[in-house]
Amino acid sequence: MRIDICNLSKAFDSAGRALNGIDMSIADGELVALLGPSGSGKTTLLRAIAGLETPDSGEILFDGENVASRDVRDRNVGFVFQSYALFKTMTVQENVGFGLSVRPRATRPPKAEIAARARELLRLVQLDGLEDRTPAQLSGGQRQRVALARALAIDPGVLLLDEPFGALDAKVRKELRGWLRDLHDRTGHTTVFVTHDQEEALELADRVAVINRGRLEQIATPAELYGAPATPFICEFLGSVNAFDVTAEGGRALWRGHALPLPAPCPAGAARLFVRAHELAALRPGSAQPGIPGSVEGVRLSGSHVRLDIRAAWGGPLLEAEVPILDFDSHPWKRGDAAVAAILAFRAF
Amino acid sequence: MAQAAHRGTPPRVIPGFGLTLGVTLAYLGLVVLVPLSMVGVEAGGLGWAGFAAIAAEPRTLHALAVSFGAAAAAAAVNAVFGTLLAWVLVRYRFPGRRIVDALVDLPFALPTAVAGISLAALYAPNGWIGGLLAPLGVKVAYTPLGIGVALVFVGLPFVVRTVQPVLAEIDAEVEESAAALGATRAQGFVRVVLPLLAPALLTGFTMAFARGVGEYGSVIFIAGNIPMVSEIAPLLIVIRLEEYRTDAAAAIAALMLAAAFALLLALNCIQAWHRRRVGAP
Amino acid sequence: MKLSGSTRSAAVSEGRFARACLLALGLAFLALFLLLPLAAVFAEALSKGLAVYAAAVAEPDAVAAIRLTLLVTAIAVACNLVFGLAASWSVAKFSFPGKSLLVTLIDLPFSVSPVISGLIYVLLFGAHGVFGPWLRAHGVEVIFAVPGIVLATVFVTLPFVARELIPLMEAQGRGDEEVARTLGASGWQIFFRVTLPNVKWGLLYGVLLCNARAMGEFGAVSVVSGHIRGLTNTMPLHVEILYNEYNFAAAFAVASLLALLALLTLALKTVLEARGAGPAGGPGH
Repeated sequence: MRIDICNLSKAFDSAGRALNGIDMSIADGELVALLGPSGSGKTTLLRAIAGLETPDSGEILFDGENVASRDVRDRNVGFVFQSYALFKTMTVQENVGFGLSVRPRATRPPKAEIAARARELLRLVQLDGLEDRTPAQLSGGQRQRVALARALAIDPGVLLLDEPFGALDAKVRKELRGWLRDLHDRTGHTTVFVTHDQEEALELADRVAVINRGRLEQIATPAELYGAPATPFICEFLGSVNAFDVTAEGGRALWRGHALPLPAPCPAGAARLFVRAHELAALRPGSAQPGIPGSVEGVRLSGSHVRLDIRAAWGGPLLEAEVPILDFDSHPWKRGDAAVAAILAFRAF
Repeated sequence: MAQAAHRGTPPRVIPGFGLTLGVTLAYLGLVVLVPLSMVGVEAGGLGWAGFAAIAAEPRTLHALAVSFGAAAAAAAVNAVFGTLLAWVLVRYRFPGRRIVDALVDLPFALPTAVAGISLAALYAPNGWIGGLLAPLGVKVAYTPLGIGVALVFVGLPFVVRTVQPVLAEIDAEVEESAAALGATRAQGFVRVVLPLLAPALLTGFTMAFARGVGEYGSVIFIAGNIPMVSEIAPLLIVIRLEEYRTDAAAAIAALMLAAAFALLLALNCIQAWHRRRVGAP
Repeated sequence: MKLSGSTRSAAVSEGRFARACLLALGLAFLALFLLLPLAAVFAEALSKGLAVYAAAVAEPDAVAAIRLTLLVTAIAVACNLVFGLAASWSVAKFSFPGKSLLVTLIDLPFSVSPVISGLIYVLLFGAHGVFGPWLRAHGVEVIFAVPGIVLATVFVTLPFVARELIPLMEAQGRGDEEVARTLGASGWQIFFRVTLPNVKWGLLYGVLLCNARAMGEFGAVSVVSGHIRGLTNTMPLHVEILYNEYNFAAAFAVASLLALLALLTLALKTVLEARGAGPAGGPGH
């Protein structure tokens, strides 16, 4: 199912969360992440799509049809809550079969069929054999999958997941991530999920919509988002980044009274340059490439990279440069070493 | 030997174990256990045949039936309206909500005799409510119906106060989840909310019921106390006592205590079962 | 009237109309079964005018009943306060076999009909009771006298302080006491300077409920009192006698004092609940 969201707005009185003129389209079968800091309105948007929140203005179209006046019961959405919201008094099988069993008598499948469908879905989420357990007897990851099977049981037009991995520990989270992508590819449901974890969004989704303060900052593929962020917010939100507040004149950028050595001319009118940590090279003094002189203040190992905190001789905040671990092993850095931070690439706003 | 008894447990850091447990056990024994056991001793003095004869007296049976019947009916009324009140108090915001919330506990605070004479005055044929009902041919005071009214008064807070916290704990997402799966509001209530409330509701019902069975002060003024019609079991105990038939009084008391303990046991079983099933305490 | 919904989304809250209906139904039930009886007490008490009211309250038998009620309540509350503190200290600060049975036993008086609560002391100390003849030979009267009234009241109000303190002390654990011990405090010092301040609101809450029930107890006291005017009549018993003599205005006048006490109890209870004391162990009786 295709979803179009047009100029959707909602004002919240108390919580301060709001939506502000959101426009986006989600293609049939697409897997889209809504990414943003907490309180950005991403969950509100997801709930509005489901019909759990009523927007003040704007439209939501399911396959071209406005569903504004359609109650959550009639939208045929599969919603997986962050808390899973499983029915504690029912068994796993009853949970999964619930959506079918509450259908009006005319469209309700017979009991045996509901049970069969529930068992089939539990097989799909690899929980066969646990039909008669209650949610209290399951692990967090298993509960998550029951919630997913329950949402899939009504054969929803769209699958909506609110922080699907939020309540799980890091290891289970990684496992389920790959598993969810796999499930999506097999079932082909249009899927929208909310997350505050950029790694999760970039790794899992076809496209990522970045939401901030109730506005859509950008919706794009992970590669586009990373390579060509549309707004300063996205630059700062994705990955660790160095920001330079500059005044641009004649293609040069003046930073703290010095001309910043840049690999390309600085566009006129730019005020802020963003340089990711891996786009800032740490060089030994005397190398041919121009850069910002400074000294190493901190050396931090982070997985396959080493992060250097460099104090620029021109002042300002600490700069962060990333050195591949192999380079580091051959030429280690230590605190107090003099360094030159060379900008390899930048984005200007 | 005390050393040996505590082997394996670390020495107690906090003092006062012997003193406080000693005081507790002595006090409980003297005030509760020894006097309560007298009921068994006195009733046991009758022998099985004597006990059975008193228990089978029509007046005894009728008094027990009135007490249990009225208590069950009142508890059922309270189960419905107590849940409704808990719902209103938890889910709605309205002016005066806090006062209403505090007022629910009135039956716990108001002496039963005061409630009793007040209800009798209200429902007497010339009372505020009795006067309205009389032309309709409905008699409340001095009938079993009056007993039910008094027990509704006494039992209401039990249901409200057990259901209220459980209802407040139910996550809105659970109901939203039912709605998203297509359940109507009624289906959501009956199939999702009610099962979650059921143990609390059953607990509240049982507590109101148990209290109603033993209730005396609020009932005797409105009941009319007509033997074989509106005479409750506790009153029959008092009457037997005034007739110096202490053994008969003890026998009826033994029957009521047995019922009370059975209810207490049932209650514990319900709660244990629910805890096992749902996991949360 | 403003009927604002809570923060629940529209999908899972009733419509405006349904909400208004449920609210009206609930409040009507409350008004009919709780508010009206309360109002009737005061209306009946003042129905013959203030002079009759004042006379009924100031009459010597009424004053004697008030005195006796205060005396009995003071003794019962004091006894059960000491018991409650001892029981909660032993249950919450130590572990020992049979603990849950002990806690169940403490709640036992709530499951016993008030009439039976009186009956058991008659069986024990009455003229034909186990200790009755011996007590009579030594000139000690328990039944149809003040000691019996005190015993019956102690029995029915026994659980209030303990059931309030036990969950509270259990929730607070024993860390504070253990720290105090390592700092060299004695047992009594720990109790008065560490434990008591930690549980003071819960303690007051328990005492409040204990007090209300002690003053208002009717069934148990009725069985052991003998209803001797001016001597063994507590306030609720005095209300009964006046009512049975068809002296309604006087009966409701004395009853109104008890009703005021109930309202004061509810008000103080609300205040204490705002301070975090309250029904941790389920509703009180």
